[in-house]
Amino acid sequence: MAGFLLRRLGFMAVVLVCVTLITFLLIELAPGDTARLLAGPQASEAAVAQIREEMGLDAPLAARYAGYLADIVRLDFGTSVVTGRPVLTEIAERAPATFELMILASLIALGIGVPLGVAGAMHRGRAPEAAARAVSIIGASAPGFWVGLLLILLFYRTLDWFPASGRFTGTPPDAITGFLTIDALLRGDWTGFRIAFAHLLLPALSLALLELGVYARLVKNQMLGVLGQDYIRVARAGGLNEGEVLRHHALRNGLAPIVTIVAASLATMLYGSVSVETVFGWPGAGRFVVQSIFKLDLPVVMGFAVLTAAAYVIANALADLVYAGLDPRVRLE
Amino acid sequence: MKPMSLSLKAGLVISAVMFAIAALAPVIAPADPYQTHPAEILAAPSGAHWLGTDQLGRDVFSRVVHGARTSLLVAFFVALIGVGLGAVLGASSALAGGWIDTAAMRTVDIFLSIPSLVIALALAAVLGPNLVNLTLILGFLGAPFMARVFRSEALTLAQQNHVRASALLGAGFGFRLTRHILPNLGPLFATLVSTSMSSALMVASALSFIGLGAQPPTAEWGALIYEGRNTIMYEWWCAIPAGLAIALSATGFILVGDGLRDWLDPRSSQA
Repeated sequence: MAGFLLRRLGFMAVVLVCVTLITFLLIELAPGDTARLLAGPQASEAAVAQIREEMGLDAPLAARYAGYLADIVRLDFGTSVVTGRPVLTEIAERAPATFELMILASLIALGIGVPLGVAGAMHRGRAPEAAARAVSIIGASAPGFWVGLLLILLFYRTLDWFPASGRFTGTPPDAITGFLTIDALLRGDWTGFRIAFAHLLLPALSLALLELGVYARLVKNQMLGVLGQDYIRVARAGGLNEGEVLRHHALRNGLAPIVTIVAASLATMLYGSVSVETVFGWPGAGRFVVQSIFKLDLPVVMGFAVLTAAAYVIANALADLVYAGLDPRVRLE
Repeated sequence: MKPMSLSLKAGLVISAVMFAIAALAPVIAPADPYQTHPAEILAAPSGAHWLGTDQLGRDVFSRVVHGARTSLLVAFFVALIGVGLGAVLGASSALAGGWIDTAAMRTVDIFLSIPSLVIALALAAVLGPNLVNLTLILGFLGAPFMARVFRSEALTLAQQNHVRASALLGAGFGFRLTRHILPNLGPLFATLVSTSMSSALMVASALSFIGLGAQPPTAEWGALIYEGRNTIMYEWWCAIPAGLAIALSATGFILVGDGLRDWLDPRSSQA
């Protein structure tokens, strides 16, 4: 266990060093003057010279990378060339909106996809299996941002049940966690919770669709594997009904791997998140970084890359630990 | 050879139709997809304009038909670059073995541990957002995963007696790679190109939708949906058809990919 943790931490460190190397080299090798890129297109010559001085841009490449890495370790990602504020502050302000969206989307995808996958495996060749297959194909072929537009047409334009844009209408509850739904609940503000949740639901549904299909398909295949095992046949032969077999024997073994799939699928969810945030005017980190690309705000883009990669690597390591906890057959060596 | 499944046939038909539309776009499209008509802005679908006109008065049906060329070409090249590079890297790694194999697979592990979106965004920021860069970036980012898949298949091939005999008779690395390993990866190659075309289409259109791919006025499905999103409340015909085109094409590629895998796999039954 200790050995696994050490090796895992070592690998995480290597991955993050590689990410910083990529972002560093991209800034270095970008066409044009690096100091000018980091200062922004509107900066004066004096500001550019000051950046060159501060960053030690005349030093050798290796020394500059060491300096860049040291800054990142101290959580200094530089300043946005557009707003002049620290990159970390800019991203941290918007990260909760994106996390809130991705978490609800994951919950929706799990809440529908897992039961559908289990039902598909239990009833092979009948309606539940066909439904699981249909959902996995629709999820993988209908673009989330386009589904978002359809949802807006139906639930905002036609039915007027849900808002089409933003995170809140009126004054949002004061931040505790930054998750508006949670903050409203913590403050006992039911109206605030309803408003925040109504804004959250349509973008989360659009984002959930792809993962929903992925989970339905994987759970179905996983459960088919487990249900074919000898110990399941023994349990059935011993007189347990299907519900008991499922509860006591099949579900835990069949579902444990989903933990690692959920963590791994955060990477594909990021593609959905940047486009769905655009559709719903969602003030998250994804939309912000896309706008930063158009404003040539390189420090923000590179800071986002490093932070997101770090979050992803940590999430996947945690998922491996949880998986090992759920499935005693897995040895963390 | 066992018969093709119904879903494989359906997928082949859908894919063939979409490619035919792309190839014959100038013949099929009734109007020039770039010609603006200030007098006919946001006209509803009619006999003259089957899917209406957009905010510049351009014929939406013609733009969707021409969009097939751009979108499918991008998806095809993204898939081809990713799967092709992956096949060469994975097969070479398996055949070379030893520390080269270890080093290559560790590098693949590292790339697979980084969400590809962040590298795509960082590259797009530096290289500039356009369709050619997007195609190259997404193609390269697909290669590590493919390399891993091809390596495990190539490992089995490299252990076979005729390959080992060939090595004993003095056949060099390049000869064994190009004569013995790569040709036998053909079925896997076809399956993976088809499967990754669907994901490439989804990712490329999502990135074009947020402005990192096709630039106006290019007719590309993701960009068409972006252009149509502001008028979605009243003029639905600008954004909806392009999304349907994406969904239909992706469904076709998925059915072909899944169907080919089962069809070419001697172990799978015909269930």
